[in-house]
Amino acid sequence: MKQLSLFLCLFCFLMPNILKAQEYAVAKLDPKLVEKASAVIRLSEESNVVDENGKITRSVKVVFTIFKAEANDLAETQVNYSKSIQFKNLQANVYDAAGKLILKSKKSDIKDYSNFSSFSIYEDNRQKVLDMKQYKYPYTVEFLYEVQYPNLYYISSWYPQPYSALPVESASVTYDLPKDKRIRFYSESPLIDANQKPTVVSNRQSLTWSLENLQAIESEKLMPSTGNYTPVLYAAPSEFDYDGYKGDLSTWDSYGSWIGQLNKGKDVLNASTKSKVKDLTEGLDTDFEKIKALYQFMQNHTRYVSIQLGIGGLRPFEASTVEKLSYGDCKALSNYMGALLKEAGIKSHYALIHGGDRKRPTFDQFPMHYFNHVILAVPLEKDTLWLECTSQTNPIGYLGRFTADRQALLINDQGGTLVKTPKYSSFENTQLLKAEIELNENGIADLAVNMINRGLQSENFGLQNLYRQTDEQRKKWFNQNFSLSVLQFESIASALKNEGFLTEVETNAKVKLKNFTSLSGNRIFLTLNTLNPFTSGLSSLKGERKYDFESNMGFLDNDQFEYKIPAGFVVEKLPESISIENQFGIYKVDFKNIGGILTYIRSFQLYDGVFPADVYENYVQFLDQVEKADKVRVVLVRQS
Amino acid sequence: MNRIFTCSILVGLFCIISTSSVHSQQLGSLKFGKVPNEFIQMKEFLADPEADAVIISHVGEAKFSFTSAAGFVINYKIHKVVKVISSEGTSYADFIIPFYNIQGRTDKVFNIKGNVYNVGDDGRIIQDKLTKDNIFEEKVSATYNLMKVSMPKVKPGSVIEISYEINSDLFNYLREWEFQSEIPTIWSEYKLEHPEYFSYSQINQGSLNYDISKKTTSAGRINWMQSDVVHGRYVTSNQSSMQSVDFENQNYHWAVSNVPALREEPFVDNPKSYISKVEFQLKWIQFPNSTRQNVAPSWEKMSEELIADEDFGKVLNKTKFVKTIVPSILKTDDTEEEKINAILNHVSSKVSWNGKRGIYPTKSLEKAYQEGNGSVSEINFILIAFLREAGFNAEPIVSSTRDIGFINPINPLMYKLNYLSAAVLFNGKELVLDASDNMLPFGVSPRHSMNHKGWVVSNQNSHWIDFQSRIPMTEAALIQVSLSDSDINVDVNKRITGFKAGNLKRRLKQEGLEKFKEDFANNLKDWTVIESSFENADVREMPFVEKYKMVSRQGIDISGDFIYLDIFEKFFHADNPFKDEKRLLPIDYIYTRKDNLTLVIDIPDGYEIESLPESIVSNFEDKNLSFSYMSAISGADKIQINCSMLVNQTFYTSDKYDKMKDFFSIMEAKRKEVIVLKRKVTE
Repeated sequence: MKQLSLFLCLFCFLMPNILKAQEYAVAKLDPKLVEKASAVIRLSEESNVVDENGKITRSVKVVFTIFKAEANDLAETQVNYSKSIQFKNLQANVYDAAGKLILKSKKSDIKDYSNFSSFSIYEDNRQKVLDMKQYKYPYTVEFLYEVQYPNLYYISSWYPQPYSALPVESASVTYDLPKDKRIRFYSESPLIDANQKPTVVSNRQSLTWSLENLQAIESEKLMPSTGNYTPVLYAAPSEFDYDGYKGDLSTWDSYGSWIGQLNKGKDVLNASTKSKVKDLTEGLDTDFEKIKALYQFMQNHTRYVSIQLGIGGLRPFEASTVEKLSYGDCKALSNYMGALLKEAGIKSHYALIHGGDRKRPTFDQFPMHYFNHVILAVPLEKDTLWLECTSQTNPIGYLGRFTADRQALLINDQGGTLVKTPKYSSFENTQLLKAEIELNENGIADLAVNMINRGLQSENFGLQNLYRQTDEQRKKWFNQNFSLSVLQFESIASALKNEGFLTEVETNAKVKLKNFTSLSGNRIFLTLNTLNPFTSGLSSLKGERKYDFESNMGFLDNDQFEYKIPAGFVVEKLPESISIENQFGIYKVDFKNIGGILTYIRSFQLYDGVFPADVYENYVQFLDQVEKADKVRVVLVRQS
Repeated sequence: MNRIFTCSILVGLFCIISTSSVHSQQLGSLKFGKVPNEFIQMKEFLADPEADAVIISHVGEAKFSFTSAAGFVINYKIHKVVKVISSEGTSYADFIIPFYNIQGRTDKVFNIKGNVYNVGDDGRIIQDKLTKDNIFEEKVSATYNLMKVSMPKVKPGSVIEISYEINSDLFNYLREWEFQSEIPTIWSEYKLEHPEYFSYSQINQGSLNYDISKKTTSAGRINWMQSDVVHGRYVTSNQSSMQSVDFENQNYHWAVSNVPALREEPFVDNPKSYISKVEFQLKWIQFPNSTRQNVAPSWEKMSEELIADEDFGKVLNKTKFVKTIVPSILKTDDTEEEKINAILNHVSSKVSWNGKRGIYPTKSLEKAYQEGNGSVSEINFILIAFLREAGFNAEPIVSSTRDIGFINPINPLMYKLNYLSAAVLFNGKELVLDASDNMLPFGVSPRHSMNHKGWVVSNQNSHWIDFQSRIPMTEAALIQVSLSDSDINVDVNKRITGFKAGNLKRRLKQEGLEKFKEDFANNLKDWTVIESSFENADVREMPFVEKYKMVSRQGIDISGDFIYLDIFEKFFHADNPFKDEKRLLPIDYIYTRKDNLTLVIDIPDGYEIESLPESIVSNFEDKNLSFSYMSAISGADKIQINCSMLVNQTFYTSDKYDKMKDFFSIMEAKRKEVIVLKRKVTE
């Protein structure tokens, strides 16, 4: 009897291993699915179980088969936790190509590290790290972990294909919660039915989604950042209780009210700041002037320091703390700026936004926590002025690539409203470049250049900072951004102005250049556009393009270069003018040769927008034409 | 050097330090809470207008103190005063103090104090204190922690001061002192006092002249209470007595003024390699009436210890497993070079590098070999074992990678040694071998390991070895050009060797041929690549060969009876890398180079040469850098241009900068020259 039970036990232990051995064998993979992949997700199972108090137990099992060294980092997994997110468990198993178990993780393999975002001075975030990397490919690694989140605000969305370049064999997710609690779901993917009805058993309800055989996405250039390439099931709470702060994310108004509640009473200023506000704004006529004065005061007296602790990740420090420390994060500084404006009798709105060069999708009809940043919106008579409060140098009203052209949740008396931040179009992102160049036979040239940049083009190569830098730094800037050989700088200057809400930078330089032209026998060879030649970095595709593409920054460049030809030389042949106009933009070049002055006049406007995949080739060709035309050269011949 | 209390070149603005040596000493001893008003009111830093912030004073003191409870403890006292100039400079108001907790030995950071000084609107000076709210402790890992301090009320113009203490019993990690930083430093000073029981070697790096550099001795005394053991416990009994011992203290004192900022420049991958600093290596500890514990006294002594070390030299005694493998990979009639190659290939393909550095293997060589992965030290120890088994004289080389900074030839700093490669005697010469990268050809080491010098650890004769590569990075191209209608047709055959060949082979292997070809064509944007093929991607010892044909209309202009041809610019990227007016750091090419390009251009029927760029040869420092451009007419209808660029010497000090800039300017001008062809006048 004893022997039998022992046998049974052994059998029980062996069974799963035998099954797994079959399960994870590399030979079992569909070769089509993994054709070009460096790794594949064999299986991912996520389970989110919500208890009566709203606590979420999240268990994840994920299995990767790794084929190549470049994907080996997948065999190291991080589980994030903090004071409020409890770490429960993390373990891993490694299988060889045949699917045989070769390694099990030990508790001591788990390392513990702090996990601060690079810009933060303090957070309570930490992570458990388990490294199971092997160096014989292919192999399979299986991770199992569990964490507990304190409330429904933390509910996780489902990303069945988290790495678009990796195919997925099978993925599933379960949300299991008490009948009286609610999680909302939303998906843009045709593969996911977000409106699925839950299965109800006694007082619990449960929903499960699963997907199989997801192909890898081959990335293409200029893919719109807001596109849906891989399926996502967004999950967000309705009512929740965050450390006693009851909230409801089901409408933008209720979301806004919750943020309003967190911020309430945090905008009290002390008497000295109040009188400062008075001093600064007294005698100023318009709201804009007052805002400008207060914004400058805020910029000069604070700096950005990020400290995120518990709910402090969601609510600002009080204005009085900013007064005391003269620093704060985006929340604290926006709240403080709002308090300054309030004191001056100007209404403003705290606004949540997702900051980043690449925009992320925000779905109007599905309120959730899309945001990672806060700015301030000041409604003026005709327009809204947006203030980035974490920058000590941004010109007033300048949002730039980090926050322009996207949805922000404006916090107001009714609750919250989703509003779009301004977009900088090709007419606003302009650069006017005028140059006079006196040529010499020996390749030396005297250049006087005047450049005016507006809108997003005022950000080009750190232009916005140039005005407050030294000559040395400006010279370095010149050398880095013009492909010229400088013999000597005569002068270089830069100024920053505001044209309405638009930022404008004007730069002037006088420079002596060498190797500007080359002489061969009786000829001087002159490339006409060395100051602003365009390069697209794109090339024609061999195969067909799959996805739409985005021309993500529209701009307009106007150039006028006047060349004074050395005495005794004439232009051999004037090139022909060029004029191209199509759905992507306009390119025009003209040449004049009057009284020993050769003038090159160029205008290039590129529109922004999302275009269908089938016109990509035309787009590349247009930019190629521009690139080639920008290399135009003339020959100056010595008159005999 | 070693001038005591003298003042070097000083800036007029700072009258406190500009007048006499006595004053410069005063600045060194700025008291906490007493920052001169001049600095608070100062608006700009004339000596270096680029600076975002300036270190006014940075003073450190390390002293060994004794308590009967804890024994000896190193006490560090640090005081730093920083002036913020621009808004970018406000980040210098955040301080990070690293501290460690290693095997029961700990650092304790305490007594953190700070002040921020600003000029108020009324012109008065406002002082704000650092409070606990501004101090955060981050436990990065089990052994490594950070104390982070974020000063309040900081804006452009603020002066910040911080002072703190660290108590540490990490005797073998006596903290180094950097006199230089990425912002300028007006005054930096370090004092060290340690009892004769500890011996440290000190290593000064950098080209600064010290205002103070002296060594003295002083008397020290330890007092403690003698206690008796009663019932197995320590108690202070009635018979307790005061005990004491006298000893000698070694005192060091360095100070330096007006240290320039250390900034990034082209051809410097790690500016910190050149920072001015003093470092310490524990040599030995010896308490009265006990034997001396040697730690790492000198490079030679360190060699002896490493060879005797179970975790280092002794691992080469446990290499029986290679005995059967070596004969199986070598043929009896192999030459020496073939043997080395076969071994290098075998080890590097059998054992992949797991990304870990360090000089000590952490698992047995046999295990690493069987598992197929290992750290640099495991892989290269295996390589040494194989080479020795095959009858070669092979020894380990210990060194530091480039990101650590240069190795100091006078004294070894054990904690900075993080790399191990192999030295093998071959044809009477000693060669550096490294099996951690299976793409690099014989005799070429990975870039991160090319850090000037390494130390060969040998039983009989340990010595320095130069990492300077004897095998240059070469590119040799034969380019045939013909003109048809208004197209330029080009046929290229290019052979690449050395480090670059290894990188290309690796990329081709990683990306696959299809992607590699696509990228290759995209890089030649002005051209339509008609066909391309690549050879020897899998043969480590052979040059990487690129063969391609392409066509373009760029670079050719037909104007009346003339054809202008300037294809040269497309093949020879010779943009002058040195554009800035001044340079502070040396220039380091790392690998020697040899680029050679031959263009053979068919003159189209009915045309003749109107003008051809002139031949020139330009040498820098007796061919340390050499550029030649030779144009010639070959036969009746061909132009031949040969262009070569050699880097024979990889390291140049910054005083050569202006001349190097001129040298590259000549190349740049030559590149832009145009060939002019003219239609023949027909009779």
